[in-house]
Amino acid sequence: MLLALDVGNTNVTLGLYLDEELVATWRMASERNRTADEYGLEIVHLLKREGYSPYDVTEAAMASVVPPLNSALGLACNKYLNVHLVELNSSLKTLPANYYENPAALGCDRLVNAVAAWEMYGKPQKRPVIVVDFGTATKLECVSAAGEYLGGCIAPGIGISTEALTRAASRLQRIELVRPKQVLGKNIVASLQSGIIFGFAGQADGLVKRLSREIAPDGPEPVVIATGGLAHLVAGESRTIQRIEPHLTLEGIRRVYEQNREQGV
Amino acid sequence: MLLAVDVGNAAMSMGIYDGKQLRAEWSVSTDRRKTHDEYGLLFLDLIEHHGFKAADIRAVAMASSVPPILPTLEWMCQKYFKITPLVVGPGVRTGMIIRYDNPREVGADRIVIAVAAYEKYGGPLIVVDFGTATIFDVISKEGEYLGGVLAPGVLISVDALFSQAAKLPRIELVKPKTVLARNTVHSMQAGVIYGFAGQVDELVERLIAEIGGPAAGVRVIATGEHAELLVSECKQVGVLDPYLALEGLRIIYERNHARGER
Repeated sequence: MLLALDVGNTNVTLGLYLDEELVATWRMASERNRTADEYGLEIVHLLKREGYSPYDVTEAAMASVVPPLNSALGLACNKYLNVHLVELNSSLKTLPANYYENPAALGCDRLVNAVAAWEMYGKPQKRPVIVVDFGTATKLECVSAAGEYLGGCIAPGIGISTEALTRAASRLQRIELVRPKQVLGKNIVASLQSGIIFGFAGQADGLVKRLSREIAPDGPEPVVIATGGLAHLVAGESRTIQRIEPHLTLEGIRRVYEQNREQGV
Repeated sequence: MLLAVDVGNAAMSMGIYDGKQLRAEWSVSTDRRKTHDEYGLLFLDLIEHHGFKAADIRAVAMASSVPPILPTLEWMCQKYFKITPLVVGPGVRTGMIIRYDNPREVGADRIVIAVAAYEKYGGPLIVVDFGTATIFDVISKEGEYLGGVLAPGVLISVDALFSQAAKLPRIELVKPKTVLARNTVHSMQAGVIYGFAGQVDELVERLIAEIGGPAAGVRVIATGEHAELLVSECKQVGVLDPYLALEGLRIIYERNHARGER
């Protein structure tokens, strides 16, 4: 089985694949000072709790945007799962074309999202796709109907922006992120819930609408896919998001890994 | 002359009013550790730098969204200006009816801006204040404060992104030509500028829909230290008025000292 690791600034998301089927997922906190042994033990524990043995894992691949974690995770896979952790990069063969100025500088998480979204939605429907990944940052990717990576943009994520506000403003408290009854808040908690839920839906929509105009001024409407840990919070309020794929990044890691496996990545 | 002081979480902005005329304005960073003496020297230096003397200041009006700093500033006013400042808060006449679950929860900084905006532009209106938070205040046609929306501000969100995302560089916040970006710096500039513009437009649109729709003729005014960066991209914002908070402090001061010192 393939263990896919999506290494982000807040979480490491793990997915266990039996061929093309995602059979289990887990999340670990991205802690820069944790050791390979701590990560290794945690991964083994997580596998066992779900009824798998470390021996079931025969391959491992990761997309990482946190270089300091890579060596600990690689060592953990070696020592505790006895597999080599393949680090995917943006120079690998993936989409038919990549128009990023320096394709190797494109974040690997962004590329695998683009690959999965195009293969799952863009290619079969012959439409461009826009991915909105709500994570530490909110990242948008555009892929043409023909599978060319066109570019995208990056905005501050929902979680870190909200944390920064409650830290910086002395009178604000941490709040539960739920949808308020109305946009107009009559108390501080409702005002903040409104600003976050409707505001970040607006942030995503504003970017998607502008990107759509630039990439498909008169062609077929792009398919808009949301993913990421915080997608469920705002996707329901968004006017442009058509589908949530919670595991799009893992799916992209699997696809890019498998497409390049024969080349001996 | 009146010294108006609007104390925000990141910066305090100040203005000197001669009657209704704003003669000078400046801002300094809000530092919770500074003492009354340090603030006193800083205030005197700035006043003199702008061509005035301490003795010209006959009154001080203040609003603060950082309550712990108020005693320090009050002490400073006593010692260096021999003035008891008017601090906007409970007991101070603002002339605005507050329709909020708990009116005391509405920060003085909100009221000050709402008072100035209503006096200048009339209602119904929405004021968007771009500071540490982006704050939307809604005022009815009759001039009642109806409530608002709070969202994380532009700069603190961007700072949070830089400090937490290992691979992202610090960027200069300028508006790129396109949203579609093909390098990291451009990606972030586009995401920040156009993303926050989208956030503002969406919230304003939804607020307008709740308070009567397009037919109500709601005016949208932007203010605050980071307003200039975004306003040109916000389709919903009509006017940029950077000094609303200072203006509101002057108006509230006058309402409380009908024939008082100018």
